[in-house]
Amino acid sequence: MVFWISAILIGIGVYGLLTQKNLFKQLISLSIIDTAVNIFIIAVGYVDNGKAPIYSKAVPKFMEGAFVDPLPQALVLTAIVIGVGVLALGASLLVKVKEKHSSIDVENMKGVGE
Amino acid sequence: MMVLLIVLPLIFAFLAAIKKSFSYPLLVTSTVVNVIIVLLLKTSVPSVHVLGGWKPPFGINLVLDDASYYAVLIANIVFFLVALFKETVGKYSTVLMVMLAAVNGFVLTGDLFNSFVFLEILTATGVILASKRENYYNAFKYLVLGSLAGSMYLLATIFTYTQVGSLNMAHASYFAISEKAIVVITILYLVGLGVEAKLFPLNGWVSGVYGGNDLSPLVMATAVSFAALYMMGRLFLTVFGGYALHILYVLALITIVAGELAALYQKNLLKTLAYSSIAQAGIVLAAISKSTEKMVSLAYFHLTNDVIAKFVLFLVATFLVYNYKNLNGVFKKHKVLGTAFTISSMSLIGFPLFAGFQSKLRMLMEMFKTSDYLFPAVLLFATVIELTYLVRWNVKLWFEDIEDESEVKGPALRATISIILAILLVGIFLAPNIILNPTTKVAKALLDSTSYINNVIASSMGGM
Repeated sequence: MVFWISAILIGIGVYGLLTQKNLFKQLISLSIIDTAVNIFIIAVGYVDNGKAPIYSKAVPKFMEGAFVDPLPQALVLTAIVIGVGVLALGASLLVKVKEKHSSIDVENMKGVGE
Repeated sequence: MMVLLIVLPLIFAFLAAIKKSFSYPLLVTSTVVNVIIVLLLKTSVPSVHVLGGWKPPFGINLVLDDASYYAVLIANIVFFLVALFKETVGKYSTVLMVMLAAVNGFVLTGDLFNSFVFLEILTATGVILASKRENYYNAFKYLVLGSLAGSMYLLATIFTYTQVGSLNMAHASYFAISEKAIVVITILYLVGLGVEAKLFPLNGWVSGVYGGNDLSPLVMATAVSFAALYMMGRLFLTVFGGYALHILYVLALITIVAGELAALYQKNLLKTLAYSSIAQAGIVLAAISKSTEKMVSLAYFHLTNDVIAKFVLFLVATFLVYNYKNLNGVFKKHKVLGTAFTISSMSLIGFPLFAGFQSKLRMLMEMFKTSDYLFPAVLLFATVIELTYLVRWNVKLWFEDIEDESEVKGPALRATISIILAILLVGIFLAPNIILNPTTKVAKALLDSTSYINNVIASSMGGM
């Protein structure tokens, strides 16, 4: 089920990238794809009725299927940070694009040759 | 010691952020030290560095074998050469240091997720470099494609994780991945790496980024391109032993033709060279996809020639484009630069007496031996087109009447470096073995996944 959500979100993101003429909307589409991939990764590590991967009174030692997989969560943390970095970089570039070409709509941008 | 290649430029980049005026000296120091470290590392090939004592496949490990050593060597020398040009580097010293760390990490790492992180850093720094000289829109286009590719790379990595249960490349190579999953994984990696490796449908950013300013083509067309094409070989030959290579082959052939045709119709010098760079990447990828030791070795031989020639061409071309309004007959004022430009373009075409001839002829002979005629046909077709546009540019730059009377003082450093590298291209023609011996080792290391796995697994016994 969660896999489908992620697949649909990737589809929305790709659709946005291909159809939107506003550059900021393209950046948001990119962000949606990022999120979709992150959801997918989290879903991969999910275990039914799994606890958080910390030893506690309920789960004092390692047991098969007692924990959700912690590794994808660690990966997603890194991926989120990278995603935020890319988003910030893209947004700052768009400010400069707006200053130079007076618009961030592909059709109204001035001075973009070829 | 190999971890210093990544850590040192990164620390220096942080130091540069504290005091801006130190950033250029720090860049020069870090590149010089890095080249020295690489040269010192020659004795310790092959070796594996286990980070933090977390033994593979649990932790991250850096692998220095013949293949990654060669890629790191080329990349660091390129960065060293770029760092010499203070004017060109300008305010971008810090970015270059981070990029150097990312390139070294990307090449050395033996961990799939780690390589994804370095790929993203590479893209981000590439975007910042591309935005020099107010080239914002093209930089943004590169950002969109680059991070989309990053997402695909991450998806492929996580698919691999679900299949083999770890992110270690050696581990992934050791386990047989199910027939269905490997198709998905290799296709996603093809998209993920294809953007950096300039594979056909994904290379729309190249002309804008290479043609937009004077710094990004110097680094991106050489060091980054080499790193990406190395990774292509590492993943598709070593880790996933030969899957999806036929798709790579077809796309690479289309890349060659599309790149050359686009270069033919291009009126802008930098963009012509950018498209030619796409076509050369296509030739390398097509040769890699043949996955025989001879062809892979020739692929990296050709790539080395291309990197040297492109470095010279971009060095000269960026100087001309940003100092003269009209380029007609400009070499009459800069004879040394002109000579270096001509020698490099001859090498790119593959005239006898220049390095490109050796790699192209050997590739053709090797393909005829295995009676595959498609690649030679495309390669020869590409050569004809290359001949057309490069000779046209040479004639225009040497012999047309001068229209721009202004004269910029001849740049001594630029002329010296470009002529030395151009002479090196002739040297490679005379003694091709100075490059062919290392690239044969590269090919052996890339194709021999058993010893790659053994190296990494053995390091888990030895610890740090």
